[in-house]
Amino acid sequence: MAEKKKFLIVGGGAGGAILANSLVKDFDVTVINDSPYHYYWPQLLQIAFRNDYSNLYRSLSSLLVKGVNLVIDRVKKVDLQDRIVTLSNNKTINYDYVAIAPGVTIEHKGIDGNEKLVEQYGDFHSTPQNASKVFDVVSNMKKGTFVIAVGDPYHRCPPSPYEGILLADEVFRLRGVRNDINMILAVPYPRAYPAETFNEVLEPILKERGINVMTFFTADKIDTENKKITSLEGEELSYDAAIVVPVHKGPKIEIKPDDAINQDGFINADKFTNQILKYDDAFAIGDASTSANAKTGVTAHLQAKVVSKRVLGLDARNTGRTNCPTELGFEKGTFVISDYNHPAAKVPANTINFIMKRLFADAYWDIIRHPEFWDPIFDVYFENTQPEVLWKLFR
Amino acid sequence: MEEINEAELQSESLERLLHLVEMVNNILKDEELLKAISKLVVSEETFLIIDRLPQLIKLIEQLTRQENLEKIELMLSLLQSLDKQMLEKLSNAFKAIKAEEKVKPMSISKMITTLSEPEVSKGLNVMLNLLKALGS
Repeated sequence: MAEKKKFLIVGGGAGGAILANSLVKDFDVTVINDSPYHYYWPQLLQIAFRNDYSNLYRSLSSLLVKGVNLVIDRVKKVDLQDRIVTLSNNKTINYDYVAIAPGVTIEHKGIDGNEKLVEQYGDFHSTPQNASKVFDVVSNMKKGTFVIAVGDPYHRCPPSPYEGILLADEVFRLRGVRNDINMILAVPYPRAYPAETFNEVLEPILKERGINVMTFFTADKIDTENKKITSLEGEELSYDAAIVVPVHKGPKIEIKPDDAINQDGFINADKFTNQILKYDDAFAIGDASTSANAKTGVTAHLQAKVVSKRVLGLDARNTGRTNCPTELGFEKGTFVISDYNHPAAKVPANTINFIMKRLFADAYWDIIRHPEFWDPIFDVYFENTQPEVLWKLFR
Repeated sequence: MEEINEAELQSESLERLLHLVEMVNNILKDEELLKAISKLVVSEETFLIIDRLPQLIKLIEQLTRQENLEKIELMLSLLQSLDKQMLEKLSNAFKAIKAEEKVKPMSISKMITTLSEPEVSKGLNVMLNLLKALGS
């Protein structure tokens, strides 16, 4: 029996874990992760606005199928030319194939004053501790102006700012203080949501819930003493409590050659194949890669499936499919679904979509652990909910 | 060797079962989800459907008979062929008739003048074509 080829996966998030579990039969797979835990990042919103920690993390070893090797360490360097990965203790591991999927680095200091602001009011993109601060704010605020602003359009989970403001609205209404709180969503885009077509779904909801939208506002500086946010465009916004979506950068890993990463540290990968530059044995998937048109777990999942097929000789390609399940509060939900050829479909907000979103979240750990069980189900789901189909259904 | 394989298989099956139980447990602990499902299931509309289920089943049975399906398809193609503007005009005409409580008598000269109006003759033409089609 021929020896299996070595497949090294840097990062045990959604993309890395699914890729490892999909390849273990055909490769000698090793996952390197800097933490023994796998975090489900969308849960930060549930912590911030519902104080619900239930789905936050599981031990990574419990999510990887038998046969996948797990190394808990920080990767310092990946040399694509020599096919060598260096760990924090300078130990090196060589590979036949590598997939780099370590996720993003959150840089609060990327926006002047945001470090101090996060200390005061928290956020829902970085840590459970910061999400918990948000819950304290929305549970205790009685009056004033509550702002959610975006400083970096390339943040994780594109719908999260408006999800955050709508869930905050739900909390304020349930607490009976909504009439005394002015709510503002400040975004860098010409309309509330970056995907133009989806605004026909989102804007009426924001209007109905009395949320003010400030457009062309890219949060640039925060004066925490005078409680003012200044935008790159030169406007000022006063607040009593504010959350600014922090700047996201690529992983803190040295990757050789230098042109494998862009100026923000994201790994340059082909948007259809996830291949890094000319290296047909190296792939970048998920949030860390420039190939991710939306920084979400579903995108990482779909990219992992493409890579797993390509290394087995199949001509699989990314379609750019996004599938962002979104909660709007009061048991309503929607999905942002698009691909490279179709803008976001106008999927209406309703209870069925909320239920589907929650079922996805509750099944998350099983989806990671058992791709053999979920792949056929998702194949049908993605086929039947193609943006082309949805555009005909929801005009 | 076979015994070991059998034991491994059983352990894998047990593990799968435990994972499924964990997933079901996650769903059952999800208060928001259960609230949404309850609201969807226990609603005025669902009660109405349950209450009229026998009639609905009977209706579905009749509608899905082959001869009726064909008729429904014809009706649908007829609906698709109808001009929306024409239908709106027709609906307005009916509303006008309903609104007119008393029909005022019309002199013969007025009737001849009215018949010569292009819109009236267009309408008559449509009616005549329809009658012709029904008679053929």
